[in-house]
Amino acid sequence: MRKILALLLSLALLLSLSALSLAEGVTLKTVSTFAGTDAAAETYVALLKAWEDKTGNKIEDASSTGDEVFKAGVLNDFAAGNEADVLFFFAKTADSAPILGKVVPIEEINAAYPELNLPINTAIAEPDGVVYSIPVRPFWEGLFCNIDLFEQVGAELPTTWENLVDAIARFKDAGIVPIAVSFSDIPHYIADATVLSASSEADYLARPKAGDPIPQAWIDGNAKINELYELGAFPVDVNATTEAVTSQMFRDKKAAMQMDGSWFANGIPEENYDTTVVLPFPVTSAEAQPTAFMGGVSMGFYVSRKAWDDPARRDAAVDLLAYLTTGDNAVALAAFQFKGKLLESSFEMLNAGLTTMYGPIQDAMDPEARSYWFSQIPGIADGTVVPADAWKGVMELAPFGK
Amino acid sequence: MMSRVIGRGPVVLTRTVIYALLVLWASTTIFPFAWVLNNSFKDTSLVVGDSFSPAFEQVYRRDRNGVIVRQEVLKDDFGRERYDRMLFDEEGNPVLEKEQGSGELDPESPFAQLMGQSSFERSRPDSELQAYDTLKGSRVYDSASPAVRLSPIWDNYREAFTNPNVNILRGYRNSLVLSGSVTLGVMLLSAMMAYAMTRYVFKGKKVLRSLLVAALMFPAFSTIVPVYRMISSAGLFDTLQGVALVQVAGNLAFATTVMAGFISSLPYELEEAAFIDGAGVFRIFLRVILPLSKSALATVGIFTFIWSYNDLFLQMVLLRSRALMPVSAILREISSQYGTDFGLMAAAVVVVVVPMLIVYIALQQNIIKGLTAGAIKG
Amino acid sequence: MLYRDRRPLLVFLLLPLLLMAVFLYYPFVVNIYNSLFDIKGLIGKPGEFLGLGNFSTFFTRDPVAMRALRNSALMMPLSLVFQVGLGLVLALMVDSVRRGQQFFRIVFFFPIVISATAIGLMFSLFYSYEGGMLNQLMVLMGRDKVLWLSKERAYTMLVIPVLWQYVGFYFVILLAGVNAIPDEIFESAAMDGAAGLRRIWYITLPLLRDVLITCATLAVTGAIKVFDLPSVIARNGAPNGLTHFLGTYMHNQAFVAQNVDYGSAISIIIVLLGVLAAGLMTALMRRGGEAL
Repeated sequence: MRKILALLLSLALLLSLSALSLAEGVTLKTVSTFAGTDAAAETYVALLKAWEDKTGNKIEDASSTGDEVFKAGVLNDFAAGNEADVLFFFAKTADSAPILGKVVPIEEINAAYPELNLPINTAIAEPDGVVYSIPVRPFWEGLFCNIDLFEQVGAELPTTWENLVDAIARFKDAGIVPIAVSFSDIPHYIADATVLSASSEADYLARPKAGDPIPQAWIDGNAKINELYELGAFPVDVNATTEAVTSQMFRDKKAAMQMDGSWFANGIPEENYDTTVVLPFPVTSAEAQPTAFMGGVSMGFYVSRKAWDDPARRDAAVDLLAYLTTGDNAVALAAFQFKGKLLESSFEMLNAGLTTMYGPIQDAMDPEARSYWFSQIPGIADGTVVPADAWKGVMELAPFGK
Repeated sequence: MMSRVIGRGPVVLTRTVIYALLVLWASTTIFPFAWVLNNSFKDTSLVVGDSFSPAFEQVYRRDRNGVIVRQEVLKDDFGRERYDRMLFDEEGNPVLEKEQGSGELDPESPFAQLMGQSSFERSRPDSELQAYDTLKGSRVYDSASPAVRLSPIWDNYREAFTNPNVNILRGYRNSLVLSGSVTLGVMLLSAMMAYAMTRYVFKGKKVLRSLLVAALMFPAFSTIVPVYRMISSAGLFDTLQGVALVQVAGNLAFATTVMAGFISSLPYELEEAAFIDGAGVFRIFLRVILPLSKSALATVGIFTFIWSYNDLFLQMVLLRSRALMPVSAILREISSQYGTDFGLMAAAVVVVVVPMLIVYIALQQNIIKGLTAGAIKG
Repeated sequence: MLYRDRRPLLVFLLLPLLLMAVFLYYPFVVNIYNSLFDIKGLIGKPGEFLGLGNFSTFFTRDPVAMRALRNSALMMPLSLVFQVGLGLVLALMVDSVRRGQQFFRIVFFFPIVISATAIGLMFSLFYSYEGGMLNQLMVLMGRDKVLWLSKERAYTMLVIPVLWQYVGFYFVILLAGVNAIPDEIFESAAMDGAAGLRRIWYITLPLLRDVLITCATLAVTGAIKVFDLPSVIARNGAPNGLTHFLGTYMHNQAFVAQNVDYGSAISIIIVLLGVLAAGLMTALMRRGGEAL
């Protein structure tokens, strides 16, 4: 009996000791899009683990794929005071506008921690001219093509709309899905790309207020989605499948093209680096610029004001920020690991578009309007929604302010 | 012995037909799990290609030339991977990637400026040796190394248990803590409320009763936005306690209705006898009412547990940290983040389902008795 | 006399009522208030007063909302017929056989024990166009692949797992009800010459009336809460927003599109639909009760 008691007591002591040792470090909350199939997801988890081991602090991470649910979740958390301490989130977009009062400008961090000398990248400055975050991953978007499939059916690469239409017909005959995409899941890239490829610079950069007319090019651009649909360019279940499934079709060489971003390039299997290239989406109007592509930095690492104002967590949060955004770690998270023809063609696109790199239109849009726009894409595709009506509905929601 | 309900007589349904129909339905509940179990031992490519072949059939990965892929690639004297059609220059050295004209990013381009400090990882010496004709060529495998198997494999399970993003064991713990405490809370509080409402006469009892009926009609959707705000300002966001409180409140109305129906049917004499023996109200509640209501409590408990365990909506809204996610939320994460990894998804489903099935089969007598006792009376 | 002293009442009622007041009644009222104003973001302050604007949008200008309403409303009779109805048929059949009762009871209940999300995942593995189970079957049988989640078919395909999952639940409850009917009643019925379907109609069903009412209520209130299966199987009401239910659409509007006021309005419509259905059912039951 006494033995058992002694055992219990020592167990209790051990437990309380381990609880004490846990209490030594601080616990930080983090959130990012390094998750799921993101090429840097494992790197990110490993980096956090290494940092925990190094500092004795703990991290509660809530990363997930950067979709609309993720964006809304982070914004809601900020609004409710539930924000993370260190986060990798969108910048320079309508999404980051509401959080700027609740994150710390990099300059302010540098002032308090001059030895860190954190990079201030003006490319990610918000409209107020202040840099709040540190980017590690600029992006571009382009039309990915499996060139071996193009050779197989004897089609030219889709550098022009005519080539694209011709290739679609050949792929259809050969039983290959021409363009892999899921409109029920991620219509974002094609929605944007068709607008850019139909617009002059002025049209693309127009930000009409509620009640103002929108450029006809936007409507014409989105109308091309229906044209492609009628040509049979998309998977049979384009309006019901998921992006994960369609991306896999492209990687498995069951689909010939996919409109996507540089993060997608990272997921291309190594053995396909030399059989995959990326091009700007072909233009569909005379005013549009053939070299135009979408790119920029849209995300960066932030420290929240909440962590900054908490003396217990401030040092740890800043340390983690510096740890993730400088040196080898930043390079590892940038994850531009692809090589071969894929890298080469991306350089060609980037170099050709010296003056024609634009941010995606959707980043400037209010979430409600954007969400409505995307919800209309499946209908636009199969012809049940007229593009002009869809845009009318979008504009009623004042996507660029009132 | 004659069968009780359907009986013989001039009935179309013979016993064989009945059994056939029952087995048919049973197969709809068994077959899906068998299919998932079978595929959880296969590589995703095989799940997609041929999900019906039994998983114990050995299948190996082949490259595009039909050669069985092996785990080790043959290396040259310098430790570089060998390909059967590597590009070599005249002197027999492999052609470096750069020399094939891999291109450079124009430093003037806006994109190069964006890169700032971080740059393309291009200085790793061996990375430049990845030059090979992938169009027709393929790696040369070390024939002594084991072949890469597609079926049967344990990889999906290894992934399900070790992937830092989807810790299913932790999910189980969270589910148990959350649904367990919600169940206990609902059982106790609903018994208290039902007891008070059936035994006491007080003003406002009618109002209270109609409030309860009304609460049955409030799904979580109709309260979630204000609840989210309150939970946040109370500092309970992203905690299991927060979810638990909301779930308890949401399940109380139904539980109280069931409990009240049951308690009102209990004979008053027992309580009176206890009272005469000198027991107070609380003692009577604990020692007489609760033990007598065991079966109804079990009903309430089981209903609450099932609903709480399956309640994805509140978990999605009120939890954010991976470390706190219950099983349902974790499964949803898997489907949204690893949507094409059918092998992993199948394994995850198995891992989640099997313990529940074992517990259910072990306890099924009690569960079914409990599930029905209160429901039939109430 | 035991319950004359009302002081303990406070102890019994305080905590549960407090919880319900804070997390149920108060937010419900706030929610109604919210639906009348323009609110952006979950924490957004009420802006412009819209009155019933959101409701008129719902009924006159939002085809997706009407579709969701139709989908959710249709779910109620479907649940009654297929969940409770099929559960009843199975219960009667199992009760009539001697061997294997235990087995069927275990196996039919399987789908409830498993989280709805797991079932959702499973069905998305079945429905997938490329490599899904159903299409592999079609190919094996030498038929063309089918787009299971097409515009015409998607709702049916989504409803199947929702209905299928809960059949076993009602089956178990109803079977216990059938088992509880004393043998003597059937024996005397047999003597009166009642057999087969007649006996079910005139004896078993009336005796099961209370259990059936419980099941029907659970089924109808369950139908308006449908959320997890559709949200796993069909993203964003795929295809074309045709498979949104009121629950998933509410989540989409309030939590993704940040259109909180509209989401609140939808949730009120959910409640109204529930009240309407419950009222209708009570009325039917009462009339049915008189008839029996």
